[in-house]
Amino acid sequence: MSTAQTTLGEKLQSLPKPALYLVLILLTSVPLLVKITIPNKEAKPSANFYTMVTGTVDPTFPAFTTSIDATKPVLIQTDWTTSTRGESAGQFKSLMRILMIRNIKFCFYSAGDPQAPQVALDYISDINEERVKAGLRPYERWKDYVDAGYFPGAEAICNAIQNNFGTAFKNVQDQDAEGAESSVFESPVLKGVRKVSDFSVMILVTGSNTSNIAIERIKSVPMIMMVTGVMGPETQVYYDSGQLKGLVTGLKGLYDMESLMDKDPQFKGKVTTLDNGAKYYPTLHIALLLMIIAIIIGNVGMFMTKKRAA
Amino acid sequence: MMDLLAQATPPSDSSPFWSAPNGSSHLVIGIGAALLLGIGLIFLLLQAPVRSRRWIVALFTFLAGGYYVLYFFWPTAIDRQPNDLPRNPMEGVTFWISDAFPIVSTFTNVLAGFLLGLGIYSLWRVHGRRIVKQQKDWFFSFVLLASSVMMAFIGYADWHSRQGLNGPLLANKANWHPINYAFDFFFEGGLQQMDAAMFSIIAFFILSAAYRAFRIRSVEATVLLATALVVILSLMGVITNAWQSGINHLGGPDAFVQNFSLDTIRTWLTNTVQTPSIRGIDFGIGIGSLAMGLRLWLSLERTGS
Repeated sequence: MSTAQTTLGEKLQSLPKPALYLVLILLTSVPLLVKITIPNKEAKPSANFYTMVTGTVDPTFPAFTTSIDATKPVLIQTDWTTSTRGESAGQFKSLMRILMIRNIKFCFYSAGDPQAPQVALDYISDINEERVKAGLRPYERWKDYVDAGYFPGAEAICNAIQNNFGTAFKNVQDQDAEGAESSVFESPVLKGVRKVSDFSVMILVTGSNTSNIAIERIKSVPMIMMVTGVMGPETQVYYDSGQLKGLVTGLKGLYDMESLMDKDPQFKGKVTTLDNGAKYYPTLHIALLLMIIAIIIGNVGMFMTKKRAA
Repeated sequence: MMDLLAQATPPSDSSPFWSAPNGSSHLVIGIGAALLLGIGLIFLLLQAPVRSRRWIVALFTFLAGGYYVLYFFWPTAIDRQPNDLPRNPMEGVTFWISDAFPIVSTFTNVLAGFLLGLGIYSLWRVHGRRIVKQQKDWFFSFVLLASSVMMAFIGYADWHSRQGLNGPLLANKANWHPINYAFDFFFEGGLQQMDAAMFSIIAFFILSAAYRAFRIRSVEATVLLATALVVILSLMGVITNAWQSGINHLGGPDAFVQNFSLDTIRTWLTNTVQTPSIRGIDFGIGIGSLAMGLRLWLSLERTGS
């Protein structure tokens, strides 16, 4: 019995999956052992987002100077859980650090996942621990921020927020300073807020298409978003049309935010500036490089086989 | 007639009809009564002749959908103040639509909440049957159901411990009780980590799929590959910086060659190719959704019986 000999081209086209997986694991583990700093040029949508929430104008994009009124609260729709934490957790943490340093009050809710409010609370708790270690006061629930919980119907709540924020959140309660459940409108955060336009900005941190649902319905307040890389292309459409004033997309967007924070005296030395983005960006580089090499190997193999057959 | 639903807006006294305080007998009685009423209505619907059932469902679907159609198409009031009164029937309808919106939206949220209940019921039904009949892999079903019960119990106990005066103190981990640690261990240490681990598996599939599928077999595939390559490379700071240095060596800031920086090509691709394409797709989806919505609203969809 004779077995047909496998050519190099065929071999290159059929590398075993376990070998690919092993190489991926080994290479993406490198940044865990070695600190790699990646040079970065911030993207314009990220810089616009940054200017909007911090008031600091990036010299690369001096034309964009709009920023939020720090005396007004911010409305946050947080629709991510740990399934997308590689990108979303870092984005959320950097946002929290910025709002807390600037003493901006915020109200958050979720219209995408029942776990999301608890996940957000956990990360706020982490940032508070970090602040206490840095000698800063912890952000207090009720006084500085309120958790409005989860709304199962994204379309319904977004419509209701646009129609009348006061009635949409009328029955929403959170723990007050004494631990009793009280209307969120009694908190210092939402004091005087009746319409969605009473917020300085609405920020969505999401890994799902609730971003589209929100932007299609809520029009009376400037909106900015932090989305995962997968959500980037479809969200970019709204940024290009001017409906979004800023957009942080995926790990690159997060690294942009952290790089900008690291250059900004408002944050440098006061809070952690380079965190998840700086940690994971080298890993993304290696994974993407490996993907390019794998694609090249597959195509070289295909051409070698074709050439031999011809 | 006009303010029928608007009257359901909770009054501003301390114990409104629609939102009783947590733990009050008012709330318990309200939930019980609503449950009985719901069961009664479903029972009545089941008693109705089969042919008329379809019409009853169609009527409710039409009324429910009709509200949102009116909300979208009816002119809205400009700068309406809280004490404003309608000056004519047209404005009366405008005010009614606006006032009823939070109530309709609450109904929608409650209905969406039922989906969670339906999901839990379905999960228990399927896996409970598998355990009872000891079908293949019944043990995994047991683990699933046991985990869900445990998580619900611990989650509720944690929430309960945070009520009252001690609640705010628990923001500091130093004041935690064993139940708070248990919740953190299972939610943050278990559920969340498994969730993240499951999602991270995608990296392996993407690498394997890119290696096997991205082959230059046709002109279209070549264009797709070249575009993907530009986008991937533009995400890599090391590559973009090296590329930009090369371009800068070839010409100054106003040189024609600057048009070939990775960032510029990527931006051109995004703004000129990707965004219009996605807009086109979204437009198509929008028209399709509208057609589908009309069919559902007017009960023209076949029931699949």
